[in-house]
Amino acid sequence: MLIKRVLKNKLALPGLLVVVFVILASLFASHVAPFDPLKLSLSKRIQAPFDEHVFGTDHFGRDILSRVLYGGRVSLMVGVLSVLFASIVGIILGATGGYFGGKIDYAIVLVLDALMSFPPLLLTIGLMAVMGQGVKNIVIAMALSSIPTYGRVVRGAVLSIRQKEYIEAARNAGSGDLKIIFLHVLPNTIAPLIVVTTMGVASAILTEAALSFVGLGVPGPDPSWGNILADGRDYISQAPWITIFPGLAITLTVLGFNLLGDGLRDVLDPKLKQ
Amino acid sequence: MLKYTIRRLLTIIPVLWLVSAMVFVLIHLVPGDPVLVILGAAAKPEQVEMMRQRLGLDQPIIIQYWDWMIALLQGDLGASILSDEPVTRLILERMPITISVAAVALFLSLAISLPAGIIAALRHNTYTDYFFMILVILAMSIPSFWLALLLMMLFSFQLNLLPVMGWISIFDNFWSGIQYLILPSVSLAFIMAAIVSRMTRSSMLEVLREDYIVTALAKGTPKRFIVFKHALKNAFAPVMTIIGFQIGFLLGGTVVIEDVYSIPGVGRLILGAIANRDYPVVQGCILMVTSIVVFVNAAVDVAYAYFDPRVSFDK
Amino acid sequence: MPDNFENISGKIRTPILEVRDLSVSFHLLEGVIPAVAGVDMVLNQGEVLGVVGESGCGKSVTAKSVLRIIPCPPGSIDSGTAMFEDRNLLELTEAEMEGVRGNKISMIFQEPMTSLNPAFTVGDQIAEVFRFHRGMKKREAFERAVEELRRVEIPDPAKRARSYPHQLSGGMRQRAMIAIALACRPRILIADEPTTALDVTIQAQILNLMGQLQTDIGMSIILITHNLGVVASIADRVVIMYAGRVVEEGTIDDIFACHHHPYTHGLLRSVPRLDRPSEDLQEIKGIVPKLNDLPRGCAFSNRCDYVMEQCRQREPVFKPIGSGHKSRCWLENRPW
Repeated sequence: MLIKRVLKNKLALPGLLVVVFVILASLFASHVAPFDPLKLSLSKRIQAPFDEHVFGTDHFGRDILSRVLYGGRVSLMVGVLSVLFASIVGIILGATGGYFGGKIDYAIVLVLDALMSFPPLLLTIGLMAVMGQGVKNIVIAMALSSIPTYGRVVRGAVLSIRQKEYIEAARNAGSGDLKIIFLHVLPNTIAPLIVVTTMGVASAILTEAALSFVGLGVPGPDPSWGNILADGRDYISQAPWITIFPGLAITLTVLGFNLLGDGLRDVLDPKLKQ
Repeated sequence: MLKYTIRRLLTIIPVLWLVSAMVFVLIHLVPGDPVLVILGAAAKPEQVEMMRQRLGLDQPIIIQYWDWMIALLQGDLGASILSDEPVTRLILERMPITISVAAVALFLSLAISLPAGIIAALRHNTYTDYFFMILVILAMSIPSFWLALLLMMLFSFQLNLLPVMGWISIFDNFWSGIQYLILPSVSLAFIMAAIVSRMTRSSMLEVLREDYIVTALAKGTPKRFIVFKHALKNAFAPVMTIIGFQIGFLLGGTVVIEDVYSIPGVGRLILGAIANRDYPVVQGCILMVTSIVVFVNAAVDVAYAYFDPRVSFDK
Repeated sequence: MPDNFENISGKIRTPILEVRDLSVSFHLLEGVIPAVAGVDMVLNQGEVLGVVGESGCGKSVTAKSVLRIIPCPPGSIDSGTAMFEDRNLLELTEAEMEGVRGNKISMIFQEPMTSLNPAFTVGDQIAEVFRFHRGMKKREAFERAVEELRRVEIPDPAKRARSYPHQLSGGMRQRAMIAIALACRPRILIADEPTTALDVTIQAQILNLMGQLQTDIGMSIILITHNLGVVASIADRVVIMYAGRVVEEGTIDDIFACHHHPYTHGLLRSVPRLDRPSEDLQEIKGIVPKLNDLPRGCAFSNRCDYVMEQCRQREPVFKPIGSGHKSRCWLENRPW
């Protein structure tokens, strides 16, 4: 039923197709990629695209298409994992605050507000500065900075459900707080959560790219979309393709997730539909 | 209204306090001994000891925090490890540059997005509207620093119209200054324009369906008056919230854009400090920029009450 | 209908607004919805015309179409005329129409809570009318607005004019709406369920106020409601609507004492009355059909207790059955 509606949605379907395409391409990078993304070849330095190398080569003679395909693995994984961790912590904080209210809620809201005051990219940069480069640290840093987004969404949803009669009924029937939260409250937060997490992956991919671009993200030589862009910086006038293609990959992927998120919002929240 | 303003401004205090505490803790997240990370493993023991004392890391954490807090309240963010200059001065020197880039970007994005959003809402369900929506969602998906690189390729390298990178203040030379401002602010404005125009459109659409719009029609109010007075004032409140929210993204984005165009603002300062493990500067930059965001958001909330008077009275 | 006719009180009444053959449809995803299908309606000088029907029967759409304030698209006025002061309102330019709305013809709505703009003071919203229709300056218009608030019996009008709508009670807001509507002393007031959202005691106050101001200003009122009790208390004539059509029209006595259409009969039977045993209270059976899926023939045929074969074949004509009393039904005599 829901899947049918997603497939019929004018935004969600193209979004889903793009996302599936990008995920498959990255997942099967080892099968699809024409070259080894790490193989240096000084004789093939800075070759223009649409020739032997479809996306051209970089200053080490590495094949850009293969690097973009493999880079997708890292970028997608980092994006999805950071959103996953952030949303888990966000759910816990948001549900606790929204459900119990009072001083706990005030404290949680304060922490979320404070975290939210940091420009997300700046906080991530600051965390990376102290923790050091590395995929694991990127996931942690990005997750930490985006916790408030999910915390607030869940808290808002919980607050609106908490007052409902059936929650009261469940409590009268002797259900404990945890049981009520898991059985009655959280299922109702899923719809808004799916939408924000989908959009969240989009912005996480953008953040990873920016981080790696300024040299605080995924360390080379393993490719990520951001660090391919960083490689291309110094060759921007000689070899613009090093910059253009990974950027296109990011834009396409982010567009896919944004379309999907928008479409899901239409499908899951009929109230917002025209 | 005054009471509401004061109450809203008071809520800044706990948030700022928590923000500063988080920034303070930052240096303690460094794996291992921060002093060794700063100086490198080969440092001599007496150097290590000196640095430890200088950063106050030899004290118990409570004392460290107390000293840091007292200094902070006096506007003292410590001294740069690298240059020994006061962090506050380093930041204040560069802040005008960052703010001017961000402010021009903000202005550009609003100048585009507000009219675009209104027009799209008035043309709801026409091809203009569809085209606009597609453009918006595409613009939201383009990384701003990549756009910056593309613009640089086109306008600086291909067309030779604008300087590749660097900075001249508009106060030193207005026309040159403008040239250096254009590309950075355009690339920053892009995403913001997309998000704000989208919000403007949906907020206008919602408001145009309200009963009071029909009332205004029924009393003979001319259409443009209905759109620009009755609808816009109501629609603008949520738009403003989004704008306030986006200020953080804008300032965060500036860091990377400054790096792309070698603009000597706070962004370059923090990235340089990170490279040199100059932690006091890193902490200072984050705290300063975040405080700006906190104040801007409080100002936005107060302004919100002007557009939606229900806010300041109800609570 | 003759241009003049003598009503029960013996006064000569002249028509002030004549709606003829009005058809309005909405073009939605679900298809084309004919919300109003060939409505004729006459409002006479100085009278209160009650327009009665269930929600979705087209009574509001008719009124809003006359003022041309239905959203187009999705709405579209497909045919008809609405003659007012020798002009067809449906053919006026938008600018001319702006001069009519709120000036010669005003309208008030059901929801006082949402009908005032929350972002502006009440006084400002009244003053706007004076600024557009009387060309007054801001200050003068605001002073007049205070006067209007006093006229609708709002206590401390100078202070209330500076209040925002959310600071006023529902009854006060509806008074403010009336002040906006009557500011320019219009010739016609269209009141769309003006009391439905209010408490019973406030309802009576608002109706009294409307009646009193009607005599002061000498205007005519179109009172749209689903509440026959409200109609009985202030209307002179009544139009009953069903599925976008007028099914019966007559004086208040025609409708209450000798109504002819089975739908009117059903409506009256569904209203509790003190002079009737409660077991007579009956709902009209069935549900209101979808406007784009009406039964063949008479639109009411699928719910009518007195349905005949020809009702399912041809739509009845709207024919006179007495002086000023018309009905859209094939029945020759009243079966009740």
